[in-house]
Amino acid sequence: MRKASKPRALLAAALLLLLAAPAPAAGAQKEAAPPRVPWNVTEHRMKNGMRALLLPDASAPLVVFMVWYAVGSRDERPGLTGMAHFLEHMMFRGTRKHPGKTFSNLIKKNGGVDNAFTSFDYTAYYERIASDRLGLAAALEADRMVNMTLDKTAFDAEKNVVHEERRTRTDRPTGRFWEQLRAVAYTSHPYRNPIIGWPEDLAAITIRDMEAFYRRYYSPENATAVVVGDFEVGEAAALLEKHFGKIPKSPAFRKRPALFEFDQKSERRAYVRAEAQLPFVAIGYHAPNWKSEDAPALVMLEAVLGGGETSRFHQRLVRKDAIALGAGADYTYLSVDPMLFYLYARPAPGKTADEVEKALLDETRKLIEKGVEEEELRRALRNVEANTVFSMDSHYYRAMLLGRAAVAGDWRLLKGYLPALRKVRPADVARVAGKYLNHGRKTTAALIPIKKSGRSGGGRRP
Amino acid sequence: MRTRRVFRALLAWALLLPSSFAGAAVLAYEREELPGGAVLLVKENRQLPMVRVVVSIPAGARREAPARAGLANLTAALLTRGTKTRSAADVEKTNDALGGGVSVEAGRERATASLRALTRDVEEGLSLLGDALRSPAFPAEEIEKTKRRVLGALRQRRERPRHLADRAFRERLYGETPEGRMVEGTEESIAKLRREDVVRFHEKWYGLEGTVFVFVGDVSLARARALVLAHFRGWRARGGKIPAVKPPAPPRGMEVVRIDRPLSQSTVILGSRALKRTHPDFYAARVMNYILGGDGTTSRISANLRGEKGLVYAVYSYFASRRRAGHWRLTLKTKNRSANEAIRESLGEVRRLQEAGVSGAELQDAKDFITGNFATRFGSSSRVANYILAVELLGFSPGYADEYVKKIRAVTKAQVVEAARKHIRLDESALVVVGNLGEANLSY
Repeated sequence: MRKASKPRALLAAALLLLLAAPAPAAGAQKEAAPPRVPWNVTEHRMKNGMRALLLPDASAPLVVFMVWYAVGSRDERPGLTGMAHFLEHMMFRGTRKHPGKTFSNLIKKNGGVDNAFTSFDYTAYYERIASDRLGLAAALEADRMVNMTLDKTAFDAEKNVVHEERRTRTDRPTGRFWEQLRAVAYTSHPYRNPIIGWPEDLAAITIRDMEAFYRRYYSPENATAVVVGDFEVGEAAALLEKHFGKIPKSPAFRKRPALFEFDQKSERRAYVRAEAQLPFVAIGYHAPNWKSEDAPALVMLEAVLGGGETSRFHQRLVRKDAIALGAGADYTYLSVDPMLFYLYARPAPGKTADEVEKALLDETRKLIEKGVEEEELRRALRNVEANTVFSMDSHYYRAMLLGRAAVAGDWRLLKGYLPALRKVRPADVARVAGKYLNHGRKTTAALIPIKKSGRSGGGRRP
Repeated sequence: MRTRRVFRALLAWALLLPSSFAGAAVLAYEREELPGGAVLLVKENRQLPMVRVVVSIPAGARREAPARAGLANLTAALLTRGTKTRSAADVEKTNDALGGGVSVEAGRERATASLRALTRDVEEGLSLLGDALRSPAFPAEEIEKTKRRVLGALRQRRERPRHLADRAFRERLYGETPEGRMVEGTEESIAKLRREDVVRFHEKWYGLEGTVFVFVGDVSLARARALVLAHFRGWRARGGKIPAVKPPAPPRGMEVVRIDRPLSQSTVILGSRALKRTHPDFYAARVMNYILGGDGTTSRISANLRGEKGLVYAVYSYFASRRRAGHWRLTLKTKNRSANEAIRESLGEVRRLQEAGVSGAELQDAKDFITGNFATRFGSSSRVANYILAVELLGFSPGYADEYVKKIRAVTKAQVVEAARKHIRLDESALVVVGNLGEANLSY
């Protein structure tokens, strides 16, 4: 019910605003052995089209159970933005059989926690609970897949909750900043809308609209169950079959639409003036996702330019010129439609958005013109490999990765990910940089701090 | 048909007892005392080809004088900025090759160095960590750069209403004690820190005495021991005197701190000083807070403010009970003009619990959640590492997981009310509001 998260290359978490992260690596390198990445997943398909991905791990007596629906803000009609996320909230308001908070209360009574998240491409619900309670979580999720009730009082109260959630986000200057950047970078594709929706749209959503949206997308053939934890594969499959297998397909179900972004051709720019302490700059380029054979090279480009302390941006902007507090790059490999390849930097006190923007572009140009060293790429690969394994270090994150990959296309993308990166050559990195990081695909946004308004000088009255 | 079956199944579930407690087994770890006064804790888990190492050193902000606020933090940050044999750039290169998992940071009590490395890289990582902790060079230019970075980060944080509220709240409750100061220090105190302060702080407090090494993951006790001995043998701190700072007198009544900002929401923190983690009432207080405002949207306060009235996206309360100090706080955000109502309703829920207590069903639900949830919280190496480190530092036994569950189960209704009255002190509390005060028009 709670967050609307922004996806990230392969790994979850790490918001763009975090200015220190993974990256290119070091030393007198011999070829490092590839890490063993244990994706021993069993895929189970039910007759009604629902899929289940089962990944056993007996190291702790718990399961993380998730149900992923292939629907997100991407699938909202104009005027109804925020629907997917608002619906996610309403899924916690009860069903005929389990009204009100019965769902969460039962989960908690059994020592579990439940929550959900919505993004551009997906909506997912999860429980983390003792492994012998998987059946409870499955029963409850199966119930609300088809039996959600939309009560007027609850609907109105929950709408206010979502408005508060939006305020929390947009009271942060960087929240508005990313929202504006996307709104300018996309013209036709709904990735231009905030996941949480525009406030006027949110206000206009009716129970009827939501009912229709729910019937269309909450159907077994649009859902993937993911289970990670301490269970026996055959038993878990039987349990899921028991609870979900007999749910009929929704007659209203239709596949999510294919969507496109118009070819951009020339650059765009956005300014966000806000009461902020420091400026911020980000440049977004339309770049393909995993469906393109250039994607692995784009992952390595992200690491070489902006992965960590030895990355080119950090070395130039933070270390050498000392004009930025942080600088990096962000690329999304797993998504339904192509997203933006971001370059970003936070100017140091006294430095301007202009200065850091120039430096970001200058480093990018150098990479395109002079290429990447073999050694540099090898270090970056070591770093990405390590961080890929680190990102699997919890039941929750492994389930996240499986769900995201399944929604984006196929969970097996995770298996092929590191081997594909190992095949990238230095020339590939420079080539994709030249191909995608250019004017015709570029939108630049700058956060410009303004003086504090009115009497609010930050002073305090006792 | 289908729904009926689901319903029957649920009834059966609802009647089940909470799951049998498996915590002791999951959280079992090996403990060994090492020469030099250090302790080694190891939890082997071969699921992934990686190891997480945490080195907890008694070198936190408590050991700096208030006038030198930020010294512990600056020292910790500089350890990875160059050693006697590696330049800052060399450290960066090695660290990036390892996946960027080496870091050192100071907290109020202790400094924490951590390493996250693939099994193939563990030796290289420990070697880097040992070098950074034992033989830092503290190059002058790195000191200046790091100071600038800390100052920039401080400034950036002032954009966050929650940070402003937290600062004001801590200042009021804890004054100049480490709990009241920011670990990063202030603009004034950071500017005054010199290289010799850093060098001396490092010599005094960084060594094996009192340090705890935690290893979790693809590693055995024997291997962990060998790694620690190879890279940390003979590491000694000079020791020194810990500055004593008295906390201020508690607030009289409910003291209100207002901070005016042009925001659409007001951020509210309400709380009072409270019990330490080792206090025997801790378990009753934990149960009480769960019912009042803890853990998600089912608490009384959340059901009222969020579920019923739609005033907030998130509202919750907790006891920040540490080894040496503790406080209880409630925090929420709501549109400015709802601030009065949200505060009034929250205070009403606190008083209702203090006066009328809780029902038997509420008590049972709370115990079922807390005990049943306990073992499910340890699904990542960092959760496990932090847990076993906390058990060690609090002086609990390695079998604490069982003890915790037993003590939660033993809590009575009378103890819950008593905990609410004794450990939430509205008569000695601070209320902080950050928001558009014109719109909020506070009646507090």
